[in-house]
Amino acid sequence: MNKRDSLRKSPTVYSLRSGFGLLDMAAVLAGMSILISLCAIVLQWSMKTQSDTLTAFQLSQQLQMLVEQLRMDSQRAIGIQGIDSLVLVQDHGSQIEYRVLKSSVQRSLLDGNEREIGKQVWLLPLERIDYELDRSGQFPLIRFQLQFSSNSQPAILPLEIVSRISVDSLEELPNAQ
Amino acid sequence: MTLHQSQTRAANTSFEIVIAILILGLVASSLGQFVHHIRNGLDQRDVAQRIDFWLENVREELACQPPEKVSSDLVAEWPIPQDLSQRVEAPRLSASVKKIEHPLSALEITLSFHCRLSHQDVTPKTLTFWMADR
Repeated sequence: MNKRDSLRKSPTVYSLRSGFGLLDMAAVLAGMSILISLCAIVLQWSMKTQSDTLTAFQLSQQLQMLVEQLRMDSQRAIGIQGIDSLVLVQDHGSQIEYRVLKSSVQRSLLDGNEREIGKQVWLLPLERIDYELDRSGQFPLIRFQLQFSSNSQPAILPLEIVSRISVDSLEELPNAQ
Repeated sequence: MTLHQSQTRAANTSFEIVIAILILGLVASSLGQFVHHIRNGLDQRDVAQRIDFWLENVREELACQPPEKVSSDLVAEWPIPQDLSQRVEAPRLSASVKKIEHPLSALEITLSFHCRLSHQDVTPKTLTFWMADR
């Protein structure tokens, strides 16, 4: 019998290491599983937030550019019309058309013969652009209402954009059927 | 067996396990707080952008008013849109209207939007523009 065997068989051998009882182990496992689930949720939430942050930043930039362009175009407009798309008629015969596409807005510059000579696209989950002419003041105003898609992530509330018109009166053209 | 011959592998005590769980909980909670702050930041950025758009709307509407009607009192009574008034505390619009002669005769108007966010005053958003004194 070697030394190790003799030690193992000795009835007086006790380890001083404090071990877990079954109850301790069950409690620890329950605590760990709750915490790990919590960590998974927080991690998923943080990943979604990171993705939302990038999207929100991009949307904010795109919206800023669209609003600036829309104000600029409408200030120079002499006529407006629109059902499927918003058309702003410019004084030199050209037209600017804003068309809402799936998850983007397209601005087309059309010459006097309605040929497209320029195009710009903003990636925005816009549903439609409504407008209303306000003639209550000294000069007319156009009130645009930008309606965003209800299932856009992150959700965007409707936005009103007001633009004054540089001409004394704006012609509201009959809508093309 | 003597004591020094006992196994030297250190076991985890319940106390250590509790500390480890607490640290893990603390890290998860900090991450949660961080994400919450980021979400708040995104929301505040959106509010700030909407305030900018609204100030520009007010500028466009004021530009349609006869210059003699434009005053601080008129601006102070300007209705604040519901989407802003619901998202910030104590929103208020003020304006300073100054008549200038150089380089041309005009009104210099500075719009300031005051509000509170999370019970704290924030630096007012301002927009300065000039209106021909026609």
